[in-house]
Amino acid sequence: MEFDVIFGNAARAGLGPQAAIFALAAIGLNLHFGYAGLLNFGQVGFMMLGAYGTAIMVATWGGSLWLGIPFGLGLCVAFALALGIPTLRLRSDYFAITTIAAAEILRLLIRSSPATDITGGPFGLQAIANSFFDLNFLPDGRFGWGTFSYSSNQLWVMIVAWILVVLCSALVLALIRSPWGRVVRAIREDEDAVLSLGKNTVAYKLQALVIGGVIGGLAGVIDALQQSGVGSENFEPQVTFFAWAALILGGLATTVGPVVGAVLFWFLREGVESFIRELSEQGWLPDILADFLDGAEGAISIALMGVGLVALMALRPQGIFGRRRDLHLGT
Amino acid sequence: MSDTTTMRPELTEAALEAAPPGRLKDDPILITFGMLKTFGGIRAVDIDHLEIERGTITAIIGPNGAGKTTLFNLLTGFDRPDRGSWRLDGRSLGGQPPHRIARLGMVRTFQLTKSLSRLTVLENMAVAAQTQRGERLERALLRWLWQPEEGRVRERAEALLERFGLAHMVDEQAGTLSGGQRKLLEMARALMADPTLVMLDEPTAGVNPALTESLLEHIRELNAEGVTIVFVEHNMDVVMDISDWVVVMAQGRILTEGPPQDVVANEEVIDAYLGRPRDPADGEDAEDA
Amino acid sequence: MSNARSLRSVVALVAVAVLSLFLFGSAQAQDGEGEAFSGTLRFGGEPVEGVRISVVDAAGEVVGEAVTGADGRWRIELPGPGTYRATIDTDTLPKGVMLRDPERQTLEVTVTAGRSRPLIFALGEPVSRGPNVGEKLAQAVLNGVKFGLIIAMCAIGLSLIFGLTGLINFAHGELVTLGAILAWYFNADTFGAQLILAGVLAVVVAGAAGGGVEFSLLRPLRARRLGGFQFMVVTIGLSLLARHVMLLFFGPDRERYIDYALQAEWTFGPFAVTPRDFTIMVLSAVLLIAVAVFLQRARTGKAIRAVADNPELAESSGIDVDRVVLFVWAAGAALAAVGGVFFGSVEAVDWLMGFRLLLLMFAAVVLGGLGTAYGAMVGGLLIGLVTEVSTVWASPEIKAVFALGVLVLALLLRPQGLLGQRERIG
Repeated sequence: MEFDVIFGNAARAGLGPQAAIFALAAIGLNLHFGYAGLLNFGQVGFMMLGAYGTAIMVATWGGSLWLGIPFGLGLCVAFALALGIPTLRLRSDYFAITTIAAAEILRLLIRSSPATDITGGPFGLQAIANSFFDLNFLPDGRFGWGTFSYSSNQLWVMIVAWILVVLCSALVLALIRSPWGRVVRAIREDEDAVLSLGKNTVAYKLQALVIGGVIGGLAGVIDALQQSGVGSENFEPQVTFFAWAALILGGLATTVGPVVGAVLFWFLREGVESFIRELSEQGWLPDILADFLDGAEGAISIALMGVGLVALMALRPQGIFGRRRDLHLGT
Repeated sequence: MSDTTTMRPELTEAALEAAPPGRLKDDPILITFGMLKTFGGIRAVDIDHLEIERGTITAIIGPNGAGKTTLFNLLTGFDRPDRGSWRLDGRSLGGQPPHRIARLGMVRTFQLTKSLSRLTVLENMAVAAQTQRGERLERALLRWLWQPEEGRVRERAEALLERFGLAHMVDEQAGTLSGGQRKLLEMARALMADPTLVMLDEPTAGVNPALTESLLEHIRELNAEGVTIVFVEHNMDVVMDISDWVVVMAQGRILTEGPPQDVVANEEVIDAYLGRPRDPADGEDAEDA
Repeated sequence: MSNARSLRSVVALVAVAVLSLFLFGSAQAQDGEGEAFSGTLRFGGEPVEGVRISVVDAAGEVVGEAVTGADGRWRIELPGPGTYRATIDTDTLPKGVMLRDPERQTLEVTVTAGRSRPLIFALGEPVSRGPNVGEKLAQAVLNGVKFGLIIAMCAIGLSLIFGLTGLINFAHGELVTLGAILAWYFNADTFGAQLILAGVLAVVVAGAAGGGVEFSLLRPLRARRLGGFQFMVVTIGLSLLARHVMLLFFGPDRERYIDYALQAEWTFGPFAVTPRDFTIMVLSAVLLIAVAVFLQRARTGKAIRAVADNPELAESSGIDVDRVVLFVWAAGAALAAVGGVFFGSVEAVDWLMGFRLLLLMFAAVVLGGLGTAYGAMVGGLLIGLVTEVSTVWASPEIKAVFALGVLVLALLLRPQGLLGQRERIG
């Protein structure tokens, strides 16, 4: 068994662009739920709007990428307002259900044939990131060792993405430590109490929703850049669940939680897939199992993620960096 | 809206004579006209006229389901009446959201204490400050704009906590406090918002006798400093002890109002409409639900 | 109505042709070496010969042409994976034969490496000559009621579980899929049991699975005082697990049951319905009424309502809350599985069907008011109607958008849901 191959694959995924994208999505979710108590299950909708806004500006309208990115993030702001204004006054469970439904319906709309002229429908949009990769100052070739290696362009995406992760983490930390953040965290604890103290809680929740949504939109922008295109199949509801898994694994309402959680999530996911692939390539699987598992590493690793989530909740619900006591104090 | 009470068939002559509700006050801080709130056909609150005198301690009493908490919710904007208007210091509050009513000076507490569990005691207090402009998003990242005020907020909060005997808990998470300490914290927090009128919903429920004593002392002190206080209470000892005026509610209506001695002396009223034993000290615990 | 009737038979035959094309196409995909497009042209069940089809690549270069043979088949090899446009030359169609949808004369299709993609140029009478708006509306209303009843049945468990325990069960859709897939195994795969028997077996197993999850996982976790959010995450984990295990066993394809697959329709005035769909509608309505009567009359039903109203009070008045919750999990899962079998029968069975339905169920329970069984019923019917009726005017791909539209509108006008109660504060 070639453990270096497995470890290389896992490490590549754990530090790669996907992990950074999920870290950004999870940082946004952390502001939403970890700090403001908003149960957003439609984070993928923000990612999708960030990605598609950028891609539409470039591929459909022939605009500049540097105009496309703010346009995509602007769409996220609009989505947050459209979602938040009717639902943020309601109980959190209503909000959760509305957000997951809204994101999926947005996806159906984007991939529908009436929208094809703008969004490319089921085919998506391609060749959007040329001006981003023009800025790549790295030499050509591969960087790394064995399977743990990246192409020049991948590395360029990673550098930008991880810088954004650091910046967004710092932004959220600074916001949360400000008086604004204090009100937001207070709303998470008890909205009525904060209302009774003269704070317009809906406005604060809306602001938190917008900021976390824009950070999620940034994740979508990076996704569009690294693939140099967009496709609606990349924005299924599952993506939100994975971002949640990363956040919970790392620990809610912590600064490093969403980042470490995303790294670990992708490390484990790719590690498991690679491990199963190795097993079957080495012929170490019994025949029945081998037939069964052939080409199904993806499904197996996601199923195991499911088991992992259940186990995490049963054994360490606060995640890696969370404090158990906070769980019991929470309402 | 008429200022006078109309005759209601279910009210006995004796009860009306004892103290007609809706009495005009010399210097009312809060005036309510024609307040009606129904839940599925039941009139939870149906008040023609109610005035609260500035600078007094007013108790609202009545059996469970009398509409006391609903009245609180309506007055503080947490629930919307079917109709009715009310004014605080001459400013109309009808249709205003709760946070604006709080900013206008009417701050409430809740029957079930609402401490912000995962925030520290100091943070609980600081949230209530009305002077911290760093709470606005556009200033949140500009530390130098709010840092000086943060120091003043802390000073005020610590002074209040000192007074309420919570100074030693400043950096504890509020969720670790005992039930009684949370009541104290909630009251201190309400004061931090600099109110002119404080609405306390059952301030002594679930608080041990020793703490109740100090709580009442705080209420008296506050009142002496000029804060008007309205509170819902089941414990008649407390009502008799600290209130200047008592409003009796039953089935959503104001049955009678007057000085505590007068109200409690009117035994027919108490018997008929509160269903309480004559000795008001008995059987209080059963009322807390 | 004879015109509409003949149209329907044409549509049914085209459907058969499409199905056989799928089977043929997927068989081809395994045999073929490289990338290719292929298909079979049929009109009224008969193969159509001598029709020219050409394919151009993304740059507009012609990469291949074919003429259909005597069996109506055609196949064009492609130079490699990529996106191509295939065009049918309508001039070469025999007289009286035309495309059912004239806009689908050119198809743009992406081919992945090593795959042969079947393409369908559906021949028949143009859709524009189909039923008028009134007839379409009548049919859409019928479909709406049909799907609405199924959604309602699936959503009752979701809503009641929320009402009893405050839990949003993200794995509820997988119970729907489980019922449909188990019935498929019993019916079309291993046992060859008749669909009704297979369905009953599937419902029993799915009900046991629902009860099992509550009994062996959620109840012990409740004893450990896990918070509501943590429970939600547990159900997300369960949903990921169940969905992908079903994907492993069942595979990614859509399958159909053996029984009642193709039936002639009955017509009642403007409505046309197969006996299967009619039976399903009647059975769904009967089951929903039975649930309502059960909740009103039966001891357990009353206990469910009591616990939903106030768990502490119910507990103190001698109701075994754990047993009530267990019952609702098992019964809710069984109802979801019934919905799954019905849905699989009306449409098809696949591993994602429940998850797709979950979003509509969510919309239904929020619309009706979280936590009430009747809310789920009313909400389900409304969602079914709105989505189907929208297809009269809008593209069917975006029918779910209308469900959300109704939901948002309802939340604005009546935040507690249609049948929900306002919460009291303080």
